[in-house]
Amino acid sequence: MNHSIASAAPRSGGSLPLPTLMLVISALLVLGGIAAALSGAYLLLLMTFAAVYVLAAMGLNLLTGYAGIVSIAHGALVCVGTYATAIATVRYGWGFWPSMLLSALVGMLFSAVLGLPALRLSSWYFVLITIAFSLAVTAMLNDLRSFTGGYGGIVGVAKPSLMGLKVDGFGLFSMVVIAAALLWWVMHNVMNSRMGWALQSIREGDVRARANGVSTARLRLFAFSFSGAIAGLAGAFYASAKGVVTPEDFSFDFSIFFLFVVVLGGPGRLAGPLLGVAAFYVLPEMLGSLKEYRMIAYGVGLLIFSVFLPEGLAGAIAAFDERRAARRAGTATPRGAAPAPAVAATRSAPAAPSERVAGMGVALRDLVKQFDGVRALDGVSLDVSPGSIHVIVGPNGSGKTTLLNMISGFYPPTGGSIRIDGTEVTGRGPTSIARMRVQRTFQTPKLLGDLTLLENVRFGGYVRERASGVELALRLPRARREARELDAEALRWLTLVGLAGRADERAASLPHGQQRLVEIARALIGQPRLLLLDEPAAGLSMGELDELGDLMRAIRQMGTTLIMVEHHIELVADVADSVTVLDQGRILAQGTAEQVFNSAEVVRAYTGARK
Amino acid sequence: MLLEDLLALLVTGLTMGAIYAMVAVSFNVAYKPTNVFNMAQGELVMLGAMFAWALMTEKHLPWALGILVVIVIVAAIGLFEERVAVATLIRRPSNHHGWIISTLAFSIIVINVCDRVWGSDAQVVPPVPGATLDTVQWGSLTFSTQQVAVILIAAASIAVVEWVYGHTLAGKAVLAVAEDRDAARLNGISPSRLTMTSFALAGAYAALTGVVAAPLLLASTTIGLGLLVKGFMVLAIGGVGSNWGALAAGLMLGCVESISSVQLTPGYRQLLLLAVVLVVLLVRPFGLFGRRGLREV
Amino acid sequence: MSRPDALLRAEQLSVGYGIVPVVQDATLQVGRGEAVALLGANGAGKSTLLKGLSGLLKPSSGRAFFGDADILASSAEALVPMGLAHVAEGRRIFRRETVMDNLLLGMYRSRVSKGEAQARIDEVLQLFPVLREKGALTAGGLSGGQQQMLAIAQALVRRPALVMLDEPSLGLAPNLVDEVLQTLATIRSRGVAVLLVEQVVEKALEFVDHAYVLQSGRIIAHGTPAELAATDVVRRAYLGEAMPEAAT
Repeated sequence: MNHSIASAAPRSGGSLPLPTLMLVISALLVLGGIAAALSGAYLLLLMTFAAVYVLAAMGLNLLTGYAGIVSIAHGALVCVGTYATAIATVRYGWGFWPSMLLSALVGMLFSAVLGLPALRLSSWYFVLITIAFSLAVTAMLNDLRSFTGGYGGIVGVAKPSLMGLKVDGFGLFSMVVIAAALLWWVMHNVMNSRMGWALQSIREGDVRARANGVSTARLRLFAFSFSGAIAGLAGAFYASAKGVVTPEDFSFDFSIFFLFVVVLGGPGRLAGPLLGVAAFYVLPEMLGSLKEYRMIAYGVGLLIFSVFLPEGLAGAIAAFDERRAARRAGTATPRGAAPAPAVAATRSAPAAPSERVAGMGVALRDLVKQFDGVRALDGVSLDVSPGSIHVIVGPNGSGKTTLLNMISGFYPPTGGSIRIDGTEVTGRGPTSIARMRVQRTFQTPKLLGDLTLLENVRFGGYVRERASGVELALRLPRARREARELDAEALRWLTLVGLAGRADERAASLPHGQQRLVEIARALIGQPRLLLLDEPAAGLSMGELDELGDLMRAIRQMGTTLIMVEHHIELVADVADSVTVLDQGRILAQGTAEQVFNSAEVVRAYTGARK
Repeated sequence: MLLEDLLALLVTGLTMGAIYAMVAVSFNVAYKPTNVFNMAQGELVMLGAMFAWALMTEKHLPWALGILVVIVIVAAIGLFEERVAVATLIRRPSNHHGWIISTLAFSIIVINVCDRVWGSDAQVVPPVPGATLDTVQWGSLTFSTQQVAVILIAAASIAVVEWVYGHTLAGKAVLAVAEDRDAARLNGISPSRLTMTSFALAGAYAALTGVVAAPLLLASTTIGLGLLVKGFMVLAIGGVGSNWGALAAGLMLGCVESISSVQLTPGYRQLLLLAVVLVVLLVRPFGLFGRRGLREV
Repeated sequence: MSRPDALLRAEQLSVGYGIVPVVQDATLQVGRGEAVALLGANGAGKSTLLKGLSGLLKPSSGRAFFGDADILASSAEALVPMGLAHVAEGRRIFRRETVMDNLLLGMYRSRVSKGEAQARIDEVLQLFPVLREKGALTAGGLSGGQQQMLAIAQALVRRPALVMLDEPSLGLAPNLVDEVLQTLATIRSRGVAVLLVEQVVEKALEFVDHAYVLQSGRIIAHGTPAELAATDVVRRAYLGEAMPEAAT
């Protein structure tokens, strides 16, 4: 699913899609850069540095742009890589290529160590730790001056050699460009796979990620390691291009520069670093604008962009492309507009789009949850048989959502036990429970707004995917095959809820009710054996309620156990095999829908009527 | 090590620690109603120091008048920052950490403009009236009256800040906004107005810090970044939002820094301090005196 | 249809969260000194409507006025000194402050002297004697019922013209619910208008002059308690069309 480069034209379009503005601009920049490099020594050096910066910035883009972890240590990591290559080649006589690998390794290690605190700390704590780290690296350059050459630095860094020939000038430039292009391809593969979506889900808040079974700690560590390795790699090329390495090049401003390039270029977009470097490094250098005012301009630019254009240049261009594609598709989908009519798709046969699963039973015994003085649940015992549909109803504050949160592992119980499929799961976290093939939805839909509907639904298949990170990065056959199969399955689910025609649209542009349906589809593609729905019918229109009914039938077909909190009494009566009524944290009544809603006690709890 | 040397190091450590604590408190003042950690706060302290030099040393303004003018100027800059870099961003639910970048951008602008205007040389600022930089001997203890003044002013000013939060209705209103913003609004308390006031007061306190610290630190446009990091370290150890915790943590950090300078070069010292912060956060994520659930960590 | 002299009036008001419409085209009014109830099942939109009226949420369309003030053009904190009080659900007092400070914060915008403030606090404590001894205690240490009383006291201490209460009985034992309603009756007798959102329908209906019934975001019926009791619209709003008559 080409996200950033390819056109967003609908799949059914017969004519060749016109290239997007993003593609055109990126191609022009690359070609322009190559042309400039051929035209003279000064421009060649400038373009070489620009290419190195693009390479490094792409690494930071993965960490800060996609995963949303702001870091001001990137310049220091490039510095570490630069010095590693410089020292290895000059002092220890290594060749360039082994030094380059060393730089990447060193960058990766430093970054991973730096990233360890980020696993537990919030964003701004971490930003300051990266600042402290940057300052420490600068100070250490001087402290270790026998090793690093102090202020004088290191002179005479070797150039790479290819088949016996020294590569310099245009050759070196091409090498960096090729490295950047390879990285672009790898990142494109990764970002359009479950790993990329998982990274983006970290940016939007861990809850979504964990509910999908994503291990956020491991993913963050990956993000740090990867961006650090790229920084180190870029550092190696930088050392070679410069020839002389001194601490002067690596002031704190250097780290700010990379943050700037990523944020203004367009965070979370592949073309962002290219645009950022072109607009904010190459252009000012070529126009010879006053260097003394450079940093002030950066600061002002950063401020203006963060207030008015948080999506950066690439974001603005992407928005333009989207509007163009929407106009061509004939449906106007401006954000926040009145809901578009749900596509009247043929009501497909009730066959479930995914394979059957063995539903799991749930047993709760004397479950208690105490919050600070409020007893949300007070001794709830409940049995749900495998493959059945069980609905929980009750007045406001009766503890329904708390119950769901406990079964899915988001709240640990104060007392009592929870067994899923006979296994004791009391106290387990949401990731661990999700890996038991338990899925849930939330009261407010938590789709990833920037991804398409198809990608969102496919993300639900996270735990089912077998292809490893490397296979995804290099688009090896197994990864491609899995992607095709899951794409097809995701499309079948979207067809079931009548949204197949909008599969390529951004989830954020969808009206609320349809977002809820997509979220349920996403939960189902994970082939859950237990599904928890929190008020799925809330806010749905009549048409959407019909789709929901279809979903319920498909769930029954699949064999998944369904536990649902709902107010909509007609829906409950329609689908439920058994109903539990909660009131003030205790069970008021249990049984079939008919039994429960005829009970005088239940009526009284709801209305207080004594009639 | 001789007792004299150790005591001298402790005096330095306590003095620097007091300064770091004041920086941390100025962060807290802006943080309480907003949950925003102002990345430009270090530069506001720098502005306090530099304006002190510009007015007191260069223009020979009397100290009492000078400090008032400096406080007013920097408070105004703090307010300006709130309007320009903070107000628009905290209102957005989707980009709720956008202020990290906007306040960072503001600090970049400030430091570079100051560099252009004043250059980066270190400058002299007159000490607090009644104190000097000359050292005084007291048995084995060596110190300057300015150092004592700094420690006393830190403790006294923190006491005043705490009194405001605990004994004035406006201070309690700020705490109320921090606890439950909507409930505060329903009582007629305006979070936006309190935010503006808090940022202005944080600027004023930063100015006080700069004026009082500059005679010892030497005023220069480069001090802001280091103070930003030290201020953060103090908050991380002491617990964000706790002012007395900041004082305790600051004094401790100052002494660790000072005593380790005997053996460790600046780079290693930085790493040591960073390691101390990380260890504390590992064991007590909310700092030594912070409260669980009060702040997001 | 709406009386222009009503203290609070809303016309075709729609309130939601972002693009999610929760309440649509709500029209209601509360006259001076009147007691009005807003009834409806969970998720019907009662709390959302109150938030739209008090300024915590910006309505997406329609009009609303409190006296002469245009609610859509005012902020929540600006409406408070004009005499509008919203006691939100969940006992939203300041748990880390003392009871006394909570009451003082309630008067944050009232320009009163120290003496006057003390007098008002005494007056309010007469309505809630159980709070009298607890002036210096932290509000978080009070029981649920006491916290609810503090929340109401915090609003009353500013002598509002209209108090909007969101499910004050939530989580309270039945005898406490009675006490709360008794207190409301008392303040009502002093000329303060009350807009009460409640799930405990029967008790609410005993207390008010007029009631509106909300279902799925729309007001489907309104009238005096007698008028509403004569139909089964209330029961249907809570339990849905499909349900048979509840067996007694």
